Amino acid sequence: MGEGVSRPVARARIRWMGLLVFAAAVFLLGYPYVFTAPFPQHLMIRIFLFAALAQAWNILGGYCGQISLGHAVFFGIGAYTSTILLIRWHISPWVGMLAGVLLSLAVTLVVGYPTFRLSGHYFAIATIAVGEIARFLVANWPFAGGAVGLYVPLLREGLRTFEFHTTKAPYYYISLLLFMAVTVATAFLEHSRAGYYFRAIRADPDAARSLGIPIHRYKLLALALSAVFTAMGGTFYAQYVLYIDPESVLPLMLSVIICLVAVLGGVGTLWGPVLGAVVLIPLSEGTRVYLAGMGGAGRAFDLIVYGAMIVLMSVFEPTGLVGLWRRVRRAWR
Amino acid sequence: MAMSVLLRLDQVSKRFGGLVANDRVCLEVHEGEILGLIGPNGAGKTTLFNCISGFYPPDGGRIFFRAQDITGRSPEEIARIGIARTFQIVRIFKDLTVLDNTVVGALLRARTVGEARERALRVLEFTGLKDKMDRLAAHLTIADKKRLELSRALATHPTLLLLDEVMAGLNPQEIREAVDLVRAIRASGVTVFVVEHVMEAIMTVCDRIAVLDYGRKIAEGAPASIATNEDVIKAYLGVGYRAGG
Repeated sequence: MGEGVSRPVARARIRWMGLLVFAAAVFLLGYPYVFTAPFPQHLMIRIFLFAALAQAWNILGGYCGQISLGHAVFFGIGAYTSTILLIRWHISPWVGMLAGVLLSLAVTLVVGYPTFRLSGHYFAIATIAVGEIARFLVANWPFAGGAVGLYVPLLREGLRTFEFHTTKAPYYYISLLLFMAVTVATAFLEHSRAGYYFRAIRADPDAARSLGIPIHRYKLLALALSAVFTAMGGTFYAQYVLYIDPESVLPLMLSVIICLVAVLGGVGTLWGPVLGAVVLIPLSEGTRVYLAGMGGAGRAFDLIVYGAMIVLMSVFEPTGLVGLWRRVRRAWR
Repeated sequence: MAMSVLLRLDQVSKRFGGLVANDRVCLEVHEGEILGLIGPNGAGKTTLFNCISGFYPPDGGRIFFRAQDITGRSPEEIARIGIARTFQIVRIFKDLTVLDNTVVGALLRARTVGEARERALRVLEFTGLKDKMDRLAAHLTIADKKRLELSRALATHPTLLLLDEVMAGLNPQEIREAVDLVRAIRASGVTVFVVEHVMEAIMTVCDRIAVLDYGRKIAEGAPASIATNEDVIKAYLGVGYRAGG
């Protein structure tokens, strides 16, 4: 494209982009003032959280090509670290978030070293095992609340305590910030040395090595970046829901959904995970709410739809919604 | 001629189970030359390249680059030391553009991505792929894919370039272009070590040729002497082959 586009056209495009960014900023910042009811705000918070988690997953799974089905581990570390620190030692959840990030980094070293010796499907299988081990350990660890879980103590609401009881708006802005942080980080990553190396490793690890890329070190870097943002999401979740247990922050299904959001949207692209979250999360929340009248039957309905969408996508458009969008745009020209 | 030795193989052996792929191979690559390596299918040519480039640890013998013992180093270390390679079956990064493929190579010795881009553009200009730089690598013809893999290796700024059958599958016109490119690479100061099956090409482009048969080096010398060597004719070329036809 670049050189083929004449300057006035390029300038017009930049103006359009500017306008689009401005409109998006107004919409996102103004949303809680327009939609003041809890549900629409809750929906957006879920979208931001899952877009952030899927984007974090995308760094490792999309750009670097290492498919993880154990990301709940990092989410759980974030949730449990801040909550335990708060309950036992009254440490602020913000400090707890930082501690969760550091702990997840330590875990990436322990987990990454052996698992990165495995390639392709074997790596994915190993991450499932790691995730299930973590869930089992926590469920049988009384200090961490065991299978019963932990309640985050109710404190006076405010930014300092990271708790808001009368309105969801602050959670909205915090989750928006988290989502923006991962996305901006990924955008920078795309054009950095690490971004090039991640894509080279995904495309052909042996060819990457022949060009002098220390692939183990860069896979670990991708895992670390991915884990940091996932752990932050975990702490946010704990402070938002104020209750955590192994079934809510460490289940295999959470790891799978994070992966599905990214895959459905389009892996290895900046907007894929965002698109995936915008489509999947309302679907899951919608079916949960509207099919609740069917007793327990509504609970798994979203997963049936997820499954069907993944099958359709992998058959017709393996590049995800981003690929579909590109194809539609080409057809319209 | 007083040529300095760039790469020296000393009794290099590699076994796969009962199969001896390389049997005590001794070989020297001189600075600034184009050395050819030929031999029938399964003679151990690619295995030898894999040993040099660090993908296989040799089972015996030593490999020296200048005075440095590089036996058993990892592929990424070998690349950093200054030995780049291409693969027998092209292994370009298919879902990256031509330019991005080359940038990945250039990053090895560039401090910034911008610097790597400039270096990559210069390399693509040199190899004649610049006008296709925005294409996806997967969409190139086989000749251009091989040219891209070569560009990517060149972008790492190697002292020694190992080319594994860069001319296989090309038509006569493409082969002539590839020969010119290999010559231009040598003229730019890079030593070239090629494995090749296309006989006319290797006979015209190489200064010296070594011959492998069943993992063993059976001959070494100028192209003309190789073409008339009895052992080589028996093992490989077939009776009646004459250099220059």
